[in-house]
Amino acid sequence: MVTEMPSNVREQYPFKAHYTKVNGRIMHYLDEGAGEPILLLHGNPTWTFLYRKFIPVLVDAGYRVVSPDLIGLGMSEKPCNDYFNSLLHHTSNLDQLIKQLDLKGVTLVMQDWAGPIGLGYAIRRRENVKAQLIMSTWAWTEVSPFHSSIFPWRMMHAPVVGPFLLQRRNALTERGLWLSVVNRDRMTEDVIDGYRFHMQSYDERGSFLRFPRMIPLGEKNKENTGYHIIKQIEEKLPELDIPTLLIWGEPDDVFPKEWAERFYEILPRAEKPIYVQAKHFIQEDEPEFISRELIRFLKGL
Amino acid sequence: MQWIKIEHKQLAGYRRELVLTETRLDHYDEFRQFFRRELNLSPQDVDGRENLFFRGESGRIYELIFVGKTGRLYPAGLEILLLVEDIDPLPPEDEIDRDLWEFLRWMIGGVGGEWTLSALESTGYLYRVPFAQPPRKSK
Repeated sequence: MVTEMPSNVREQYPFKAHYTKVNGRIMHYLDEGAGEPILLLHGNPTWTFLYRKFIPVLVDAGYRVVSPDLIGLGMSEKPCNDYFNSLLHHTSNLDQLIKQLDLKGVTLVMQDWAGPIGLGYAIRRRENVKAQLIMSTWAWTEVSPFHSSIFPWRMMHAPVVGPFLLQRRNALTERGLWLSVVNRDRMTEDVIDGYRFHMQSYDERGSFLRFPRMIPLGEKNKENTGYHIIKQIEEKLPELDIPTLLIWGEPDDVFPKEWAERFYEILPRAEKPIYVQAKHFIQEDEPEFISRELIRFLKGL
Repeated sequence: MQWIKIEHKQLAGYRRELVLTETRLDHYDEFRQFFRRELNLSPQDVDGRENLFFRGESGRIYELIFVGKTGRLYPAGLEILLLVEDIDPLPPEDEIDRDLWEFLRWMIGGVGGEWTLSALESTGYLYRVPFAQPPRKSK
């Protein structure tokens, strides 16, 4: 359901909405500025609002910033079924958007699910990726300690509990975001409103649950998680010779800093990771610093 | 939470409001196995077994429907529907959620193993479910 953006959200997010159709679904995206294209990619339970503080900085520095909302989240279409939400769907949707906009030599900025989605694009379309920024994500089948734990992660999305907490109680938006930042005073009601307004009903929040259930569970339930697709990405990472910037939260408890080191060891053209005082939603904690570092990195290529 | 029997004719004058859908009971298969064991479910159920009803702590009545899908172990999913009289409005969400929380407690208690009531309560408390119990402090 499309609702008018509340004024307190509009003030933080003064960007023009664009819509297109990818694989038969309506995708919302932002397209600001002119110059070399930077794609800002989000994960769950966020949307392009997550990058609201990056966009003006990057546009002022002479870049074209394109940022899509994943199908199922943000202002994109939210289908009420489970059959649109695999990694292959999302990577194909991204590929379609890039083709439609005729974007050449893109820089991918990735966090959370945007990691496997964007890296899935990069391994297939290496020739069209100029650079990448990787933050708080993963691309291997090993499960992080956080994602292995019953409390709170596995319980939160367990059968029947998951729809209750993530859809009825909207737990990730109402509490999870706040728990996963260092600068909690920045997570004001106005900011949380930005994450709330487009996901107001039980049905609209279905993807809040679908994404956690795609995380591989090791040897269990391989067919119903993203195991095989992530395995495919993992195997190709050593060949991904794309200039890579790694920025990670020192106290990140979802994807530990050791995983930044792992990307650094695997990716042939990665710079040594830069650590900041941030947790999983690093874009909320350190937007100004990351934007500046990205510009520095790109100017140096 | 109390299981009750309802005749079809008693449902006239009520409408069903979907309050929770689970499409992947086998995400952790011990949950699917629990329902199958606890409620004596069988794949033949999809061809005629009457649905189940329970009364929540609020006194409201819910229908529990199990879903079967070809290619998936039974039951593949479940739906919980609140029976609402005539054109009455839905009750406040917290009232429904309190009943559902009791349903979750019953379910987790039966699944057992690493799925403990303590983990459920702590998770609910962390995510501000108003009727979840705070974790016990270790002495």
